[in-house]
Amino acid sequence: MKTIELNVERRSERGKNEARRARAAGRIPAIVYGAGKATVPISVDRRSLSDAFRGGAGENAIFLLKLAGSEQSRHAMIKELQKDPLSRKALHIDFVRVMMDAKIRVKVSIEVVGIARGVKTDGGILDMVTREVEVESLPGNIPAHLPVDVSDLGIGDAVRIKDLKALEGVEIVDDPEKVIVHVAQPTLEAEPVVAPEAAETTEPEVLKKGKVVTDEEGAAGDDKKPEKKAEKKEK
Amino acid sequence: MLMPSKVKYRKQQRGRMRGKAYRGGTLAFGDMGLQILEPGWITARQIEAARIAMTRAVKRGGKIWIRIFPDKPYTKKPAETRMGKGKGAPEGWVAVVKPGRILYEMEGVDLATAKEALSLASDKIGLRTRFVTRDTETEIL
Repeated sequence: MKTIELNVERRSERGKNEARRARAAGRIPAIVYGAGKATVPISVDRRSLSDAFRGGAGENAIFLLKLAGSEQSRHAMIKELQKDPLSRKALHIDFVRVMMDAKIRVKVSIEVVGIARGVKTDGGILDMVTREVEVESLPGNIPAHLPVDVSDLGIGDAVRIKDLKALEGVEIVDDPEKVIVHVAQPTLEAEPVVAPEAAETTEPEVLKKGKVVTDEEGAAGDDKKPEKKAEKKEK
Repeated sequence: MLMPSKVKYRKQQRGRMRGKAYRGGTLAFGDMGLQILEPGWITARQIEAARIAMTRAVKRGGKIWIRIFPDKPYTKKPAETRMGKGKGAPEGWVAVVKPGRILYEMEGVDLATAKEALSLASDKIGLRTRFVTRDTETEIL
């Protein structure tokens, strides 16, 4: 995997106000930790990071963080990326330092190749059960995806982790019996047996601690109230 | 329709819907989904209507996940009742959603069919939504 160079700056101040100011100025607050060294708060240029992701840097990309104003540089991976759920802008990044000569465990996404026979001819549904597989390898050998060929799968067939082709320098450490993808029989939507009106009126069971009122009592109680009100009015 | 099987209390206060959904805002099961863009209450009837619309649109095939559950009871006073005399009777169930929440997910259908199905589902929800895929999710701006 290619190493992506990223210029970073050390953050002198912390806190939400400073983080917001950094985001407004086009920088993403981040932190670097790991490898038994001190934790360093940094900030990353938003544009260079989004360019790196557009250029094909996956979730397991190796970054070479170059600290501005010094000669220091360090290999790191993204441990966690916080995103705004609406704007999809990165809010904060956790970088973890990696040693290029030490094996690490990461999750690699599965890439489905081809169209399953069961889907093409029999109308089955390709159900992806596992989307990521845990592997152990040197940071430089981490594959972007693990390809899974599904073209031979009929209805009821599955591909398990043990069926994956071994890649050089990459050891799969997940459960070998775990199903990755299988072709399921399509299910038809059953018509509801209970009439919708009846289903609406039922109330769930109220646990002991709360006020226990059955449907009938509740209905009776509701009826009583307006009567009382009417009586009062007459008086 | 979806509703809890057991509850601790029959009635609840209405509550606030501030902020965004920082949980339940990413695709967890399917390849495509429907994301809500504004806060609101989604009733059990709306959830069911949207599910039926989606299922009919994809016909055979496809797998659907519902990512919200109506666990909040709402009450209503009878018509022509004077104010006071306590809270009304439970009327139905709603799911409280905040912007960013994924409502439905889908898998096993082509992109155009899924878009159409989720658009029909969106019409039943009555709040602003958008169509999301795994590609849009990995996008970082």
